[in-house]
Amino acid sequence: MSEVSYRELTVQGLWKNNPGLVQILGMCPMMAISNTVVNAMGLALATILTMVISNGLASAIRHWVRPEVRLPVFVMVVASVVTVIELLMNAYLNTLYHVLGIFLPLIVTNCIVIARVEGFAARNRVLPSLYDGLMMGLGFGLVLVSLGVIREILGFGTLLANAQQLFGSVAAHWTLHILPEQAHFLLAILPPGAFMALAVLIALKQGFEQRRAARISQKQLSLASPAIAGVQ
Amino acid sequence: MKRLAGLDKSRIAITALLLGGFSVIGVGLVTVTEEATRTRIAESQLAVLLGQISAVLIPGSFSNNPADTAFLLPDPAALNLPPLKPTLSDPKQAMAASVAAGIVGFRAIKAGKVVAVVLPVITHFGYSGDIKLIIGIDRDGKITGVRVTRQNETPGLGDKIEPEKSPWIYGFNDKSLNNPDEKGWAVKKDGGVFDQFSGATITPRAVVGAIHQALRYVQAHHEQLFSLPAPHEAQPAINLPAATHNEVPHE
Repeated sequence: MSEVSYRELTVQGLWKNNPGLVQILGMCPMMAISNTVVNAMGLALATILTMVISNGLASAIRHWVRPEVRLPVFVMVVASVVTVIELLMNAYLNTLYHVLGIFLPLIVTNCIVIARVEGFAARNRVLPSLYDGLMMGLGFGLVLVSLGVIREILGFGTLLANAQQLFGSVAAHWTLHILPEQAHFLLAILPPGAFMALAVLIALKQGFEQRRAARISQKQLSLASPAIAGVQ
Repeated sequence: MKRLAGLDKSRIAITALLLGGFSVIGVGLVTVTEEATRTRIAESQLAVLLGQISAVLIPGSFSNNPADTAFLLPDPAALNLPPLKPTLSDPKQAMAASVAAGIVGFRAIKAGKVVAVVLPVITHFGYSGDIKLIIGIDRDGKITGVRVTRQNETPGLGDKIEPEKSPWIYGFNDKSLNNPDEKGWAVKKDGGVFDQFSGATITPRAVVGAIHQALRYVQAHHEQLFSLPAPHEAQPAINLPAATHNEVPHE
């Protein structure tokens, strides 16, 4: 088995193959739970944990699982991990647990989780699998939190409201008031706002890539032309 | 041919065993966590419940822990509460399920007297789905507090019924059936005394209606609600249908 480069895994998860911006996987929780930063962070955290643990477990058992039952076994692994995380969150982050509601157990059905388990962890050693889960989870989480930032600022005019749900009572006064109440853009916290904000993020990423590609080809051109000039 | 068939059989058996083995491990993992977190979950749920109850009672007006006084309400349909499911035979479990479902009342007690009751009420007239409220009402029929426990109203418009968004909900404190009168129990747009929100009338109308309904309910069942159950009935057997069960001893 060829060595996997951790650098490549990082780039793939966070940028090139980002679950939220490129693979567009796991849209349902992404849209529903990104209305505030704290909600987004909560779901991101749960998803990252799920992905790391599921990837690790799936990779550890990959030699024992026959191809016929691989998928059911992996689904069972993911489901058990999610249930455990759900119970832990209910016990230790009770308010956030109620805010995330159905989207916590629904992490089981988030295609990005099973996609990484089946597509990566089933073929790779444990350590790279753990790392892949972490990077893909982070990639998903960063998009989720970015959406949360955009939507909370525009829609509620605040940032980090209800931070105590995630960080405990020390965070009760972390809320930043950024926009006055008259400037709240209601659409941002409604479902259409989620799609629009995600579209903006995808467009920004594409734009950045295109400009970089253009710059690189220009560089090659300008590198090439003196050589041509030299020949003449 | 024979050999192949035998091979297939063992293969199926191994596969089945594998699948079974992994299910056992998965279930085991969940069971262990469930066991480890059970008390903690129950504690935090109780804390949330107590927080909600305390929010609608006047601090210092009672000396008991109202969360311990969960009791089944007579005629739950009058508060639009879902009926209980008489499936659990263990009364303790059944009561816990009813508490979790939010279909029980609580009593605030001081010096052996019920000073206020806390009731859930649901309205189906919300703008998007049911709105669930919890209301504290004292012996004289005056409201001690109202909080929304579940709503799905439009953010920025209908969600002003939440105290974090607007002080509107505090406007019901000290109100009763006679203050304002029958006609006054409506939003201003309908000729009542309560404010609606600009851009959202349906939500406040639903909430005002539900609170009025709860007040009338308390008036109708005042004696049952404000009398303490006899000690042996403190943990009532509630696998009976609610309607026949409410023979709370009268004072």
